[in-house]
Amino acid sequence: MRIKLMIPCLVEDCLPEIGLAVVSVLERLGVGVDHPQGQTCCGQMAFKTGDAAGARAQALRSLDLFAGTDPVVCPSGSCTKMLRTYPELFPPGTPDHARALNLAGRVFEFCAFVLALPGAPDFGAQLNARAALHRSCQLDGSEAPQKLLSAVRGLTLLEPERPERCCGFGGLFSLQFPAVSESLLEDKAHELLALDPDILVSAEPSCLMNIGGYLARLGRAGRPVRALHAAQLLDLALKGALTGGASWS
Amino acid sequence: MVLSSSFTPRNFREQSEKASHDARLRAVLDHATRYFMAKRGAALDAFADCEVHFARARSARLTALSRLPELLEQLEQSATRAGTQVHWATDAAQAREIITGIAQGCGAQVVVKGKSMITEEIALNPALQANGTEVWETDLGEFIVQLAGEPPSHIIAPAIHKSRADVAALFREKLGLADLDDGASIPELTLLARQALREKFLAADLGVTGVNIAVAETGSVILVENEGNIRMSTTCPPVHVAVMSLEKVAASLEDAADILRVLPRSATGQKMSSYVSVLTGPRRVGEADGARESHLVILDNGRSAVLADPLLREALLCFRCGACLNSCPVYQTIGGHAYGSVYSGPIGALLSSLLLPPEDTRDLPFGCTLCGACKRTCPLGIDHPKLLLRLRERGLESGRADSPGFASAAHTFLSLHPLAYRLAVGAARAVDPNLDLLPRLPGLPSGLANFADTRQLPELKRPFSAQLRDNRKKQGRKKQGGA
Amino acid sequence: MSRDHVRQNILAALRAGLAAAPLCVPAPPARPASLPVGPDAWTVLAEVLAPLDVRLRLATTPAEAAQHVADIARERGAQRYARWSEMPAGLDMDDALAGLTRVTNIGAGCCQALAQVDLGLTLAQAALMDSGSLVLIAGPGRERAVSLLPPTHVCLVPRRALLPDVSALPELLRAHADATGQFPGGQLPSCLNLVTGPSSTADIELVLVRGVHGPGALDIVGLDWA
Repeated sequence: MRIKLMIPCLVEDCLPEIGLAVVSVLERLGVGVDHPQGQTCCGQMAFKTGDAAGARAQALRSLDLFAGTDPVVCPSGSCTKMLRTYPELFPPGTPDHARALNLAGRVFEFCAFVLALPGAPDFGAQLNARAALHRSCQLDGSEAPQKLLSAVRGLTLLEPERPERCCGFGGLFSLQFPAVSESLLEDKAHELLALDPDILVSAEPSCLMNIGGYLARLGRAGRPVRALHAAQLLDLALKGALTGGASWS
Repeated sequence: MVLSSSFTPRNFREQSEKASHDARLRAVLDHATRYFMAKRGAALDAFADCEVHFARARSARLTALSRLPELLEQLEQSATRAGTQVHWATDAAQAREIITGIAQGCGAQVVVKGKSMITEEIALNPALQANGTEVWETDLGEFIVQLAGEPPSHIIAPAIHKSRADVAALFREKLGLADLDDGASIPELTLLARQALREKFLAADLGVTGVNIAVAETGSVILVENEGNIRMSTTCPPVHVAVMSLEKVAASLEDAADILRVLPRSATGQKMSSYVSVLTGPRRVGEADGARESHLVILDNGRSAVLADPLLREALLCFRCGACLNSCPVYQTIGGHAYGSVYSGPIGALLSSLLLPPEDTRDLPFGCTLCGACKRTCPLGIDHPKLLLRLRERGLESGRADSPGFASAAHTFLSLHPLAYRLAVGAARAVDPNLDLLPRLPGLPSGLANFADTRQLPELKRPFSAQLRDNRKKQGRKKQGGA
Repeated sequence: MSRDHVRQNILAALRAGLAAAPLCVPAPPARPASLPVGPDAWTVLAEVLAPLDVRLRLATTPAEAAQHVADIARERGAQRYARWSEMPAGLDMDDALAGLTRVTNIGAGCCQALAQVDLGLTLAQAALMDSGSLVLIAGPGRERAVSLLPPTHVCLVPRRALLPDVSALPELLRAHADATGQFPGGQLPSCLNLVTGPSSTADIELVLVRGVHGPGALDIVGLDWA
């Protein structure tokens, strides 16, 4: 089977390693990955600032880029959600609306997609480490990251006291309400650090940047926390299985 | 919505930022919101067929909206038949006029009030007080904030931001209790309030309350409480005025019962509130207590305009359980005052934006991370994030939203022109790959610099597309074979 | 603007809004069946009442019931009481509470009079099993203030008055409707109070306190024969 890979703008230029990990995992699991050229943005920034016209324009680009019938896989809950929201941007009954419905019906968040592959959830991945999972509100309560990562042998997957509480990013919210955003981030970081993790893992790149960036600034004597996307963790763990086990040093 | 303090919706951003630096407030809010969420969670876990009951409550509210004009007419007829005098008010000013008129008509010198957001919305108290009438808030939390000269900070617990010592000091000063110790216990303080207010209940000429549910079929007004102050306000004084916003109607007693099945559980985690009063007209012949004269004021104040909007009208479903407040991470951090209006939290941001002048509520829809906790919590299924997004859109359409403008518009433009986008990012990466300088450029939102200060930003790296291309070339294959 | 004009304008605005965008209400799911009132009803009720700090005492005869009320009065140190005029047949409450002063002839100044009373005694028209709620319907000789002003409220609940939950209320209300009115069957009573536990508040630091405006103590005597 082949899929089309959708890469969030943040991943393209700031966190390309996440994209590479996604490709690595999918190919290792027997999925062919096509990466349509010319991707820029799913449109959620425009959409969330109330610029429906801007969001619509970006949606039209995406509809062209991902035209066809292949599943579209995206390592971001928020971008996946945005693609699923495209139908709302077009009047029902129009061809664009139909295309949007078609796309919305075949777009998948990375963890959810991998969980649906044959052999899931246990692909023999192995990694000895303590990983604190940030669920991300953008995943709308999806259990996929937790289910997928729980099957990684040797991994102690931990969840904070309030797993679904927002990390405070909210895109432009963090710029318009910086102190409120930071308060929420502080709370989240505190709860995650209380788990004494080696790794912070999330299926949402923007949350990862937000929390990971904060933890890096905070510093932690002795043992820094490494922020990884679920795809990166899984990639490491799959490779680890091949080399006879991987440990977090 | 005039407030008796300096908080305004206009200064929402500033007020929010300030509140998040208030460690004490944050501690209080953390405690209170966790308390309510825990109680509510336990109650709902034990509530058999919870989702079905929620759906029925939603249906009762939707029915009310879908037949609103007809039901309000029916309400008027049945209430009148029961002996209630029904009044209609377009706006706050008219409502104040009607109520102060009733107060003057019965020569009211002392007025007692149950906790009522609608009477705060119309700024009733100052209007009554201007005529020399004594007005006493009788809900303990409302009584406390009234003495303190502050607005309530939470729908369910208005004085949650006040400590025991704060209340002791307040009672000492305002109730003339010179001997009252700062160490007075909470039961002691409560007893003092009970004694002080009981005098007022017994002396009151007029009781004013809100309405939780007005039953169209029977002309009844249903009031829900835990303390007993609403029962006191509707039992002791000779005149009762109930004030309702026009969407608070239920078609039938059955619909009202469906709502009562859900409201107390969602609000405070109780199966039923301590007291539910179903009042239909004044006292009957032969009865010794209850109001002799009963009034119902039906208030519009902007709601009829909201009903016309097929999406935004969903905000009118709300029955004020307060659950969305307690579940909202933003509210949990900043509390109610920051919203600058009697309505706070997610539903407050919606209602204020819908009912107040647009220029005063510009920032309210943006004080939200769109995390969806409110939507998931709401027993009536109100989609707060969707409605807030629509308000953001409306703001942009009418040209009033300013701040998200530059950053978002620039990004949107570039993203529609991939070549320009790549050039811009390439240039940025060449000049400032660690993003040390760019976030701090003058002219950019100051929030960007702050963001860069508090988080270590990822660097601009060789783009994914380029790296993937390189990797694939190296692997000597154009495409990885599929299964 | 005349009063009628205001009314017309509001109704017109509402009609216009709905005409422009009609609101379709899908049929709701059926109301889940209420749990029936079974032979263990008193036990179930006592369990529901316990967390509310309400004690249920069971009486199998009028004499037992009278004794329970007398016990409660003594435990609470009550000296003055008031009660609803109608009591269950065979229950001589005045005899049982002979040591107390009964406040009668309430009439005008009802609330003032009842503010001086230590214990108020009522007879419930119904009680809801699901929530432990008492249904008290006002009328001549059934003052609202009796269950509100005194610090102790004692309520007698006949066995036949037990109902499953609040969904039973509409039918109950209609049964009590006054035949002279125009509501299907009649006019509703002026006041129905649903009383669930004592008066309470947690407005100061979320610390629960009983008896803020209404009674701090609520006692229930179940009349098993009635």
